[in-house]
Amino acid sequence: MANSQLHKTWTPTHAAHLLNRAGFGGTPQQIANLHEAGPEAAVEMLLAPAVSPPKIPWAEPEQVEIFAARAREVRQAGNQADPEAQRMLRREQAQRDRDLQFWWLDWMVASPTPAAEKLTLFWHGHFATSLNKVRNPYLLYLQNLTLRQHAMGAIPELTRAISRDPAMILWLDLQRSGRGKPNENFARELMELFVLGEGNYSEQDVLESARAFTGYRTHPLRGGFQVVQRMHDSGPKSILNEKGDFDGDGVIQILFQQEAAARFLCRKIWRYYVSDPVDEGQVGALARSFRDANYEMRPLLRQIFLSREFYEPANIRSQIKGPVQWLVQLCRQMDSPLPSQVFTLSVLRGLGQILFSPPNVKGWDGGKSWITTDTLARRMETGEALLTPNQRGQGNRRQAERLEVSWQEWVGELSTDPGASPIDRASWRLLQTKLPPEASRTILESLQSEDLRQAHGLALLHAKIAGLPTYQLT
Amino acid sequence: MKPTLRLKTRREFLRTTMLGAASCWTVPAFIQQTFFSMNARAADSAVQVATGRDHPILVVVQLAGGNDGLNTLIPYADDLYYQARPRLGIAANEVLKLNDHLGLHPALGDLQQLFGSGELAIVQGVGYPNPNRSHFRSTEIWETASESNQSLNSGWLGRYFDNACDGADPTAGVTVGGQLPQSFIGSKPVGMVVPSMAGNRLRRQNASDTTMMDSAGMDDSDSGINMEGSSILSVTNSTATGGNPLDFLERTALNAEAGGAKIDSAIKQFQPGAEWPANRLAQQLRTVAAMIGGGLDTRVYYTTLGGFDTHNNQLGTHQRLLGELGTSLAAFDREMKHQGNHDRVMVMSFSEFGRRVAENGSAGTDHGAAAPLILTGGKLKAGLLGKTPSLSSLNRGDIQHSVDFRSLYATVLEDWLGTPSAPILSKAFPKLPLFT
Repeated sequence: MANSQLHKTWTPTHAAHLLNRAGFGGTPQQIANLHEAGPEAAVEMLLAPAVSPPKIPWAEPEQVEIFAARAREVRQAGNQADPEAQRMLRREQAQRDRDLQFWWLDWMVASPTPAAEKLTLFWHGHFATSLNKVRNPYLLYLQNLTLRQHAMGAIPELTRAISRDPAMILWLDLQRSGRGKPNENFARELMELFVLGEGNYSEQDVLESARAFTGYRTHPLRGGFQVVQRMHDSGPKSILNEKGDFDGDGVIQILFQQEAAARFLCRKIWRYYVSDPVDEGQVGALARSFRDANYEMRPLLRQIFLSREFYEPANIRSQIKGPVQWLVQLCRQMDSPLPSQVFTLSVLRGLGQILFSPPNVKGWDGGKSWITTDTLARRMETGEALLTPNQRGQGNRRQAERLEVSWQEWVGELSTDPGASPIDRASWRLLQTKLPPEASRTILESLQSEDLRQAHGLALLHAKIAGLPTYQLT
Repeated sequence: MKPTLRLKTRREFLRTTMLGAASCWTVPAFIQQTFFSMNARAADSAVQVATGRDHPILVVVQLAGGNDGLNTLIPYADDLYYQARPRLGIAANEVLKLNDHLGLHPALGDLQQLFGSGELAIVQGVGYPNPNRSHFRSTEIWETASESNQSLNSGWLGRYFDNACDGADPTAGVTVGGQLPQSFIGSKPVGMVVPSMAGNRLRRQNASDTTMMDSAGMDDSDSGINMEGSSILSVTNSTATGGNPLDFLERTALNAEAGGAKIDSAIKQFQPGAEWPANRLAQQLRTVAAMIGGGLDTRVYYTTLGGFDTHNNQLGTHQRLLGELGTSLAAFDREMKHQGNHDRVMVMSFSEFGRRVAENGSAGTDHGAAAPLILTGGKLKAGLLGKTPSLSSLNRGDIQHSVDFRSLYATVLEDWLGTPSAPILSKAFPKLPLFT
């Protein structure tokens, strides 16, 4: 890491790269602001504490109680239950699932602290928990708040909070785990996926740790947390060469004492923000300082975002965007809100990333696994369609499926700068780099009958660029 | 058809193609060498009517999450079974008997029929030495056919495509729905992902078709499906293959273009000849049937049924999942007969592990090891293969394997797909008498 060197070579490309990776990218103006601030100040701006998203009306405690009461009524009525009431309940729940996803996506686009959201998204994939099994969007909402609250803080604290999280308790079967017959699911994933990684613990450690988490209970509708003492195994345990009457918190403490923990987490975080495969040397160095700093995220991220490696050319525009990144970034770059809820969720489902519904407890693999013949075709088509204005003679395409872009404003800006090249500006806005000459030529030829300094032509120009294979990279 | 730079005229720009934006995308330079072979092949297949009607076809069904083999093929005459499973044990009078000590779960009536008509084989005790109980690691072991302590970058089917398939026809392997499985990864860019069919169309017609919302996943709460095992709906592992991401993207785009049109047309022409149940696996297998019926050159199809990670309240979930499996395999079998493709198509299911013999405290089971594996097809030597595993001689509570899954792969590679297995599996494995 060499701060002074970074200052000397700090270009708009670097500022753009920082914004793309630390957050979800932004407009040319936002990139310019970061550039002007210089690297350290830019990083501090991004690491500001999360601004909380607006509350969800149905997630207020009284509303939750009302819903829970209706659900209880239906359940108690058993076979006598009114089928229409049951259907309505399920439909409302399904709508709340969708509202929850869209609420967070919308905030990712609108938040003044996008880096906090990007990190919260990382933790969501890390502690991957799904509505498919938890079946209660209120609990996933609470989990999201917990993740955001601790995202930039100390990770052992975050892990403790997650071990008590209602959605997690239901998701990994802690709800039925009791003394004498402990359920291994949570203990195993805690070690394998959340803290240590495979190969750094034994099957026996899993079994012993499972005993420590017995008695953890929540309410499937209201949430909350308690340890039911008579279900808790408070006997002596032996975990990773530590002996004691450990409870869940004790186990988490032991796990974070292991050297493997820092390496495991740093490797994952490096992969998320910098490169894959990781730079083992860098990860090792980061792991040491991460551990020394008691696993605090801000210093770690600061180190990463000010490192020489982060800005290496090989690491710029080298990462395949996940579907959420792809859509949120497009909206931020184009300074537009999301399209309609229905369309947004349908697009993301087709691309393979449904928030609050990861495919399994490992979250989303990321990288090249996002891209198949099917998903790439959808990205290219949808990227272009989101920006394409109505074609004359092709009828009206619903506004619900397009972005709202201030084309006229941009037309105005172009008109004050006759030397500006529309294609260079469009490609900086969307790619933060120039198109290779051949691609440029082909695009211009295909648009030769359009005036690229008028709204219609300008929109088509952006649409074409957003539909390229290279748009998938950030 | 000479490969050229993509479309430049205004008329072609307005044309709706599968990759509308490809109208502005130039053929990348790196592809000069391979482009001719890839594109020529694609050109050939575009010009010819697909006439693939002779080659054998393998359909893989992944049961993601770890299927409880002990409640699938049930040793109903063994007391130890009921002792280990006071709540989860299936009563002997409910088991669908295959012989005087083994039977199928009651939800597998269709498979019992296929067994009776000689089209179903079950290999018992399939696993591998030093079993791994992590979903991801164990799935990776099955997909890459590695040793338990080895990490390979390619999948067994990817190596098959590399070794045995001519050129790089991206449609040699097709996955329905979801992601490209790790088993497809090889050095050639083979493998198409096709969405599963709803009705007679692919789920996605164009980017703006919002009426075709996928009803799996988000709306399961509508149908009240018990999703207990659904913490594992699918397991795919990312591959650590290097290579420039932009090259990868552009190559994938080319594959989509080359293969997509063929697949689209096969699916559009599909007329089902059999009754199909309406479940997730059936939709995928129906899509496979459409492609087979459409005469595609595809050698291997891959489908996934998830939700088997039944740590909790297993009975209802497992029953539903086995029901999906049984009815789908039977419908697929009927469709293949109707198409006259019954003798050249086989289905192999697998799961990353079985589950512990003893039930846990949540009326479920935890990750285990060896399990039985179900195959169907017209040319199979039907029946039960391998040894019935002992429930007394366990490996830390888990069933010990007697058949290495790579023996199964070796048998399928050599006796079905007709290619030497040792280069693909890195050594020779003893084969099984799977085929007549």
